[in-house]
Amino acid sequence: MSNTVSDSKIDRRVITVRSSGVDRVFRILISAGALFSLFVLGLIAFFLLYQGFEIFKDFGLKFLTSSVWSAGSDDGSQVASFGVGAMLFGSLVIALIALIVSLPFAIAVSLYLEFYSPRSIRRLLTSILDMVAAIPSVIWGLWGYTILNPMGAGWAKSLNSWLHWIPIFNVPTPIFERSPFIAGLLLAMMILPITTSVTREVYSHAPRDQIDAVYGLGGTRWGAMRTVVLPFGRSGLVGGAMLGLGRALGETVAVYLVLNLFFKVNFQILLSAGGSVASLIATRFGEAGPYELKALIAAGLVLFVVTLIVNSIATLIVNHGKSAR
Amino acid sequence: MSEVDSPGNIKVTGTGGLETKGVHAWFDKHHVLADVTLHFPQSTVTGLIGPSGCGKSTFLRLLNRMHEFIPHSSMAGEVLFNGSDIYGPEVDPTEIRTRIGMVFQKPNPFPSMTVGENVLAGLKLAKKKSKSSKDDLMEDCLTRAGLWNEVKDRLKAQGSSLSGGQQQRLCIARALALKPEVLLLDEPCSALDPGSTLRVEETIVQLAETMTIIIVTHNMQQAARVSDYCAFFLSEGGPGHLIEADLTTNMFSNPTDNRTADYVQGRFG
Amino acid sequence: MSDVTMITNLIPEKRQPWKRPAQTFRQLVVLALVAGVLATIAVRVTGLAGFLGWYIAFVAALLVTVGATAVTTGAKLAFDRLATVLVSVLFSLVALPWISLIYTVISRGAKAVYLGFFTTDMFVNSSDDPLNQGGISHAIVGTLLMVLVASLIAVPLGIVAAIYIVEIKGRFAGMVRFFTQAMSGVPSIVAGLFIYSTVVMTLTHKFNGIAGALSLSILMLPTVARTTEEVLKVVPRELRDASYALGASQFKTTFKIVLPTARSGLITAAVLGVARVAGETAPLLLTSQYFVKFTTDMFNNPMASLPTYVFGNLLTGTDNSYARAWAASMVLISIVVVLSVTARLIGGRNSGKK
Repeated sequence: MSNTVSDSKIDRRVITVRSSGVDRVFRILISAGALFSLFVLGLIAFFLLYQGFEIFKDFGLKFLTSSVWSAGSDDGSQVASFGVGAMLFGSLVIALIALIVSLPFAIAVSLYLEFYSPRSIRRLLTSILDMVAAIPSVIWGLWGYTILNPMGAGWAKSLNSWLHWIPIFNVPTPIFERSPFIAGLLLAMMILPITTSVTREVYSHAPRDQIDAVYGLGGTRWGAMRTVVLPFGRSGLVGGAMLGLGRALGETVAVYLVLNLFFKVNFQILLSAGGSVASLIATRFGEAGPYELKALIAAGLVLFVVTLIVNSIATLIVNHGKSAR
Repeated sequence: MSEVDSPGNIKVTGTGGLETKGVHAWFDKHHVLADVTLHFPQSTVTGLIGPSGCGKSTFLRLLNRMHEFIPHSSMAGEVLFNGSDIYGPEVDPTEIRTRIGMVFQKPNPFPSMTVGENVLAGLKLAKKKSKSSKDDLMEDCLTRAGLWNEVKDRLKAQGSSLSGGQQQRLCIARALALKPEVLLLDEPCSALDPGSTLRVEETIVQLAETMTIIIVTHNMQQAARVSDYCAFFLSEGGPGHLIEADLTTNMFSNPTDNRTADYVQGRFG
Repeated sequence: MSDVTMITNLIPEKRQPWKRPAQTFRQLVVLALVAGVLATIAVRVTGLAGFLGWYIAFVAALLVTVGATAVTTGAKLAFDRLATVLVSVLFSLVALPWISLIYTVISRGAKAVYLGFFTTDMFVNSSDDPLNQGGISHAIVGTLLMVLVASLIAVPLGIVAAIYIVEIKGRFAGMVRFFTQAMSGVPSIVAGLFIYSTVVMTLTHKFNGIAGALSLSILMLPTVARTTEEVLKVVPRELRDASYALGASQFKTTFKIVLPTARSGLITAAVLGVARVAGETAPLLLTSQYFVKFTTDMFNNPMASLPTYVFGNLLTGTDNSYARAWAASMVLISIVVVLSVTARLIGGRNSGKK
């Protein structure tokens, strides 16, 4: 005779908790506070949309693709026309340059800090890296403008004289100051600490037993890096790179100082002509009339959406990497 | 036959092989291993037995120069491989490790490589060229590790997709690809189920025909099954040292030292 | 022979035969000299300019020299050496801009600092005036006040958000978490734009310190929330369990047990948030703008701050104004660095992370 009682015949009890007065108030207050932050974020998006809506209504998708940015004339003889095409393209270009330049260094510095540096000074070096990460962008901009800009122009000149047969290194006129190249270099230095921080943390979790296996097979330290650490840290590196990319896209003051805005899509990165949506807003803000202001807000919205997407992807990648360990 | 001279000195007629003379080990100021003198005869299996914490694994890592990876570690004494000290000034440690191989306690195949690539990983890392073709070498090593039949259709699968016992045999195959003269095994079966353990033990016994094997084990029955010689380590509050070394059969049936007798009869462990 | 000498075997001296510092040092020196010679020749030949040019040539020569050692020791060890040199060299290259920046800030800013620098404002002076006149008192007080108000808003809100995520685990916890992380990516100028379009343009019709503080709080909130979340998660479950087992309410548990345990982490979160916004310029350009007078009135007039002071003087473009910009940068960096170091010290190993 079977004694099995099927699961469904057992009634599970539903436990209800009625919080005490104190806890109910507590929960409500905390929830309200937390949702308030959510509310603020939504408010940002809403207000930007509201103000910028007119612009999108007037220009539609052309706002994203056109490069002309003109406030028109007061008497109405010239119509205003706004488009962030060139600026958006420029933002992406300098962010890309920053990423390409900083990535090898980020990997090298992370490896150095985790595996090559003398153990006694490791904590000191990591602290130095954290402090550099805190240097405000206006100071980077100041240094970039006074020191990096003239030097970079010199490098650009040499680069141009040797490699001008490559289209992006060619220039129609030899003006090399405040170019996308220089802005990209400065941004690379600014985003390096963020990317390195994330990457180094991931490398520090590389499985020691596999590193031991490499040595056991007669491999060298570089063999261990190549076979174990670098493959292991790949997702962390991508996440860190994207975080850096997000920062580079949103950087305003430093770019303002080392980039000459030019309202046409420009591939020739050595030339003193570039774009940046953030810099555009800062530049035009002072003189903007009400209509142009709405256009600037619309531009801000575009920038907000782009950085939001990049940062969300980055966060997903980094968190996915963390949970997989 | 062997002549047992005094504790720790097995004299065997034969040449080369591995021996240690008066070896000590420290972690920082902590003296963990004292005065171990042992000779490992060629083509034999020697089991290092003793309770945990008496320095067996540390001793093992001294034999292939892995002990020095621990920060602030130091040693004393000599480890002679084919007559010359592996800690000599001109010695390249990475070269030593291709001739004295190691299999670790926890199976650690490289997840970024396939099964086949894992077997040949040593060649790539040690930059050694193999005389036979890569495929032949792969098949040979996997066969000797007792794994070929199970993975011959799965050579392109990820290294980490195998079961625990299979992964450990993969690690053995990987170590074999470098054709080491000595193979060190650090409790290779402690993370495995009994079925896999048995298969690994069979592999070890077969491998001993062509190389010298030294295996650290907690499991006395395992030592009795696979080893020709045994060395018993013990720590009595201070550094671990060698109490007795003898043929396995002697050590289990007729040990010289009381402490050995107590251990092999299970009175402590 | 006595039993004692037999038993107490002499313990030999510890050795680390794998470390050969003299030999390694000699090898390094030889390689460096060879590379140095090659680099000097290369610079003569190609005309690369200055210290940086020579350094690049030196690096290239060093890599070639190390690669050449493959002849004697084989490819595997040479690659390893090459990798070691490359990684170390890239690290040194990365440090060059940092050294240059610190050096420039100090060398160019020092001359503008005099006794009155911290106590006078620029009300009666222009940026171009001689360096023994005027100062940054207005900028310092502006930064202090705006950061303080921003903290008063962002720190409690951030901690509350973290409590919601970790302790209450409400229905929207995942969403709150995701969006606070996303909010950390809001470009600073967009935060400024937002406050401008809501507060300045619509509500108050003036640029003032409060607007500046509000824009800073938007930037501060995500940092505080995320750091606090990490810190609260580290508090062991057992502590909460013990408190509940004694019959305490969630309110009491959170405020009397969890938060005090995490106290140092909370301080770290706040300090990190402050360090983050103390140096922000872009949002302030759109909200608090700039003001030459020392003032504590955050409502009726614009407000200066250290970053906008630096920015404004830089744009003025004369020698004296540059010196002022560098000097203010010196003060700003010092503040931010001190804050970061403090955060690290208070929080131990877990601070300093995002």
